[in-house]
Amino acid sequence: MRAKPIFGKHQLVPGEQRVFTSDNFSLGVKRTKEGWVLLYQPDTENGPDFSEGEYFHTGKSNSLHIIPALPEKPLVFKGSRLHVSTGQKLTFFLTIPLSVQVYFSKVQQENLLKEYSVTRLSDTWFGEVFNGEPAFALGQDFTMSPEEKETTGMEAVCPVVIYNNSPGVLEVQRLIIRCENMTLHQNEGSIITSSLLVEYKGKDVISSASYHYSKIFHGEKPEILARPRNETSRNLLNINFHFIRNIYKHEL
Amino acid sequence: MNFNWSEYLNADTLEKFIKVLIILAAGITIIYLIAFIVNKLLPARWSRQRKMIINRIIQYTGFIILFFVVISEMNINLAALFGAAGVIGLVIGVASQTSIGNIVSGFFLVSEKSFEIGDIIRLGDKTGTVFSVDLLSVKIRTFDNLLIRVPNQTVISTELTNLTRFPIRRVDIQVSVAYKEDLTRVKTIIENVTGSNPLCLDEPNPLIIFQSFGASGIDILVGVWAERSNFLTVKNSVFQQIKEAFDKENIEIPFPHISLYKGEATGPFPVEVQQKADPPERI
Repeated sequence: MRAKPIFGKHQLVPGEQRVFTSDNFSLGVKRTKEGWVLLYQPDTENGPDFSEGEYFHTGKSNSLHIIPALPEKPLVFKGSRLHVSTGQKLTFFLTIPLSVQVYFSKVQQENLLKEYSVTRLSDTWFGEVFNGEPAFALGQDFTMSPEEKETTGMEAVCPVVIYNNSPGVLEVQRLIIRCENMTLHQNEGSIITSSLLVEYKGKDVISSASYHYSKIFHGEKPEILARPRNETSRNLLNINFHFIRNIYKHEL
Repeated sequence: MNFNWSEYLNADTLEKFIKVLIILAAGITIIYLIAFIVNKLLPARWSRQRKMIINRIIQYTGFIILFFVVISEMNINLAALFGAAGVIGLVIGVASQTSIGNIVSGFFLVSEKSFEIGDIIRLGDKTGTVFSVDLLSVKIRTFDNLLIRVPNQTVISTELTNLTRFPIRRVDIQVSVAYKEDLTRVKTIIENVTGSNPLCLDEPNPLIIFQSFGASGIDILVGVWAERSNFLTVKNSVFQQIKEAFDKENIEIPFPHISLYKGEATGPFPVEVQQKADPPERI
């Protein structure tokens, strides 16, 4: 696992241009007198053609921040191969594709120039058709240890802990991961999201979820790469598990 | 006939008139000011319709109060006015039956919450965005930017479809393939198309139903789910991708055709090819 050094603060003087590349992401940046030209996926063989780029008039600051970000919608993990017995705690790891945010001067919302989704995840729906919420589909792949799967510089590892505090066996069908509440940490070259701890209390009881820092997963002194998009925790009161029903049973 | 104008046009009347004008100006300003302030204070999460109703209640109540203040300022005898109101009310009641029906229907509409301002509704053969819900009518802005006024009574008595009530919608597309095609292969191709389109929701699963043995081919219903804001994009892209995938895989999309038979059920209709006669020579 490794994190490419494109993330962080960069200084470009007027007239200077640079191409930042990491795995399948490439961004051409040109500093003008009072702004920036950004060119997504530039032609690296013949050199970037900045006349096709987008211009942002921002002022005199020569600082540019390239920051990793988690997807803007929650993610739905299809865990239909996972079963957790009563009183058991299951820990597994997911791989989440990252987006890239570009800020000028300082990392603050009003200074965001552009956000690039490097991997387009498929749209999905979490919950019932009349009251669920939009999300991205994360698929069903998981690993039991973070070392099992090599991640790219454009992916983050998400540790998930499910504690089954219900009287029956939990068959994880759909689990929502609210990445807007997650922080991105960097530890020994890996990008790791906040750890998700979900306590399952039964089908008819709302389970509790928390997103937090854990010394086991994030190390002693991890560097914070990106803060959560949403600092409030009101959305954590929503459902975390969804159990699939055949909605076409009565289709005529 | 001697009409004594001085009895009505005197300093006293003028003073009353100016007073009434000031009361009206101040009253109207205060009513709109209160409505504005209340509107600002209402929680942002409340719907536009709820805010509009509260706004209207404030305005109508304010105007009724203002009416009585002006009447009393003009020293009009309210008892006599109410006495006459019986007769006047009867006349007005008969004359404004439809309007009153619309007002009452308006209350039912608002309390029923079938739609709100900003929703897209289909009412009879009209489809558009709800522009406003007023005392007498609902105004709809159509997609070609026309404003349609539908009386509340009509809205209540007509079948209404709210297209944006729920956050996701199913996009239904009718596809037809030739009888010779392998349906398992056709189904797989459609599944691949819906699976590869990122705007088609992964869940609920797309619906693929072989509907009927049609006149020219086998009719298939493809239903994919999409967020309501992506409805048209998904409809167009899936339609286009199915056509492209069928062309690539040589799946025939049939068009209406007729087979002719002569006498027996499956015997072909005899066709004789004749050489075209030469055109007459020009002289």
